[in-house]
Amino acid sequence: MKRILIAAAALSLFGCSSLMLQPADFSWPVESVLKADSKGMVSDTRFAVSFSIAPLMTAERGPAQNPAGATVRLIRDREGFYYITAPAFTHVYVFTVCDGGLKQYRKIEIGKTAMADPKLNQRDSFIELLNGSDKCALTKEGIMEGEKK
Amino acid sequence: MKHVLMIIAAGFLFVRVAAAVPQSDSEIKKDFETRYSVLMKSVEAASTLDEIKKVKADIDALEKEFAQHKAFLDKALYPDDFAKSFETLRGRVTYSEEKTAAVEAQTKKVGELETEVKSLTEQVDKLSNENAAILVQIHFLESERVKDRKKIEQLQGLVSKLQKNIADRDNMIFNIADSLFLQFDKPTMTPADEKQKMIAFEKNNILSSVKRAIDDNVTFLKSTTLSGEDVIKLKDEQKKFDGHWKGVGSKLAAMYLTSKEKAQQVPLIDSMIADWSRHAEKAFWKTLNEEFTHHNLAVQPFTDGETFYQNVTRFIDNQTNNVDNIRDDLRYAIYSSFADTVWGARIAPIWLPLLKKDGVITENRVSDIKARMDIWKGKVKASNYIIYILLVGVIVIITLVVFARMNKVKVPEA
Repeated sequence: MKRILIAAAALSLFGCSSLMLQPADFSWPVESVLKADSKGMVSDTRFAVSFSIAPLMTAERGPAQNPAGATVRLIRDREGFYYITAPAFTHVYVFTVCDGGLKQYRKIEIGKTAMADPKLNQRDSFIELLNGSDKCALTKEGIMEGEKK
Repeated sequence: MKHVLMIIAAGFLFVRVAAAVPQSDSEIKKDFETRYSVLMKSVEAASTLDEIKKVKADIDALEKEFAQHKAFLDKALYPDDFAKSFETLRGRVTYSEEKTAAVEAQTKKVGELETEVKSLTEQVDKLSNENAAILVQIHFLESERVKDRKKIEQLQGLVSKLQKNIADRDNMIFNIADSLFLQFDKPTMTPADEKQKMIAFEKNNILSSVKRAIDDNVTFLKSTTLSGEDVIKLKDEQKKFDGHWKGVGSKLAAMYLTSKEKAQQVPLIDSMIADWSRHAEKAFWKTLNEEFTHHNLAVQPFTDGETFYQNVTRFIDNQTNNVDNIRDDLRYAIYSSFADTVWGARIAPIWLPLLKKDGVITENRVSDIKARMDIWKGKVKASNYIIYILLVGVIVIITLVVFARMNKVKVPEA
């Protein structure tokens, strides 16, 4: 009887395990520079993605910020995490896909002063952030140790 | 345009050299795309082979400069990759090069044609004047009942020369029109292109040249010295001209949609060609009829294939049925004049091929005419045989009488 119960439990666990398609590569070769429309929506035609940046602008610059016309820079890493930043931001935001939206995974502080002209590059194992002559390597967890210059 | 594009390209180069800060991938992509776009515009704007050569060198330089980013651009450029982008660009260059080469060759050819046409037109003018003068002289000589053979031969020579030159000139006019259409044959025509095209046609006097060509041909047709061969050639020329005009005229009508005055010229030329066709047709049948009347063969005048067949067969039948009523010495002479001098030497080799080609007369009808001629010949020969037999009989009787008398004279001597 005991053996039967163990076998049934094992079968049950096997049936419930979700299917994984691996390896996968979600990386975008180049960042997209997106300008928000009057409703605060940005969209990328090549990668067929669109979302509202209103909550992001509020989080970074405060509730009075009107997102219309604002420009953000967006790139996706190999694992599928989205990295978003914009001029005058002090952070790079890392998002993951959730039901019907993007959910913040990490908020990486780059410095105390706002970035003048941040840009994102795709690299083999990280996302490179350029800001003027400064650059640093980012992962979804934050700035890679010893990479900030 | 070319200089503006070069300045823009140089500007991008300066920005890249001056930039000391690290360049982001999106900037590399944007830089590439912008310079690519400038080159694409340069290709489209290039209008000479030298300009295309310069663009080709610029493309090579761009490819070389961005080769270090090829792996990145292969992914970043969408939907093409790095190599495909240059393939597309060079494809445009090849197309533009071929088109420009064709236009340059065509422009050169048009220039040559213009000179040729001018020269030919001058020749035609000269010949036309000469012809008119000689015609006056011939009319005078004919009225004086004097046949100046040398002058007539001279005129015939000039008429042939004029005929050839008019045909050449007609071809030249349509060659120029075709060349101009080819020169302005672009996938998309802007209003400026259309205007330039109209100016080119005006400059080359296409409409007035066509009208003059028609006038010259009609004047030539009205000449009294044209032979059957001349009329056949002119009728053929009229058909060729008509065919050419149908092609060019419809294009001209489309081109002159915006110009009411010019648009009216196209139907005017249509009606001139129709008039020419009527003249050619009239001259054709008149000259063919003269082939008979010049030999005193009373074939009734005809104006088309049907009346030609009817009147010729009626003439043959009348002659066949009235052989007995015609003087003996004339019977065979009339037949020989019709069958050998006119039909055999002129109609069959010169006129019938064109009549058959145009579907004016069928092979069956030609065979029918020949069959009737054979019947006529049979009757003419039969009557001749009786004459021959009678003649032979008379000669035999005379000979016998002479021999008899000679024998009678010799007997007393024996």
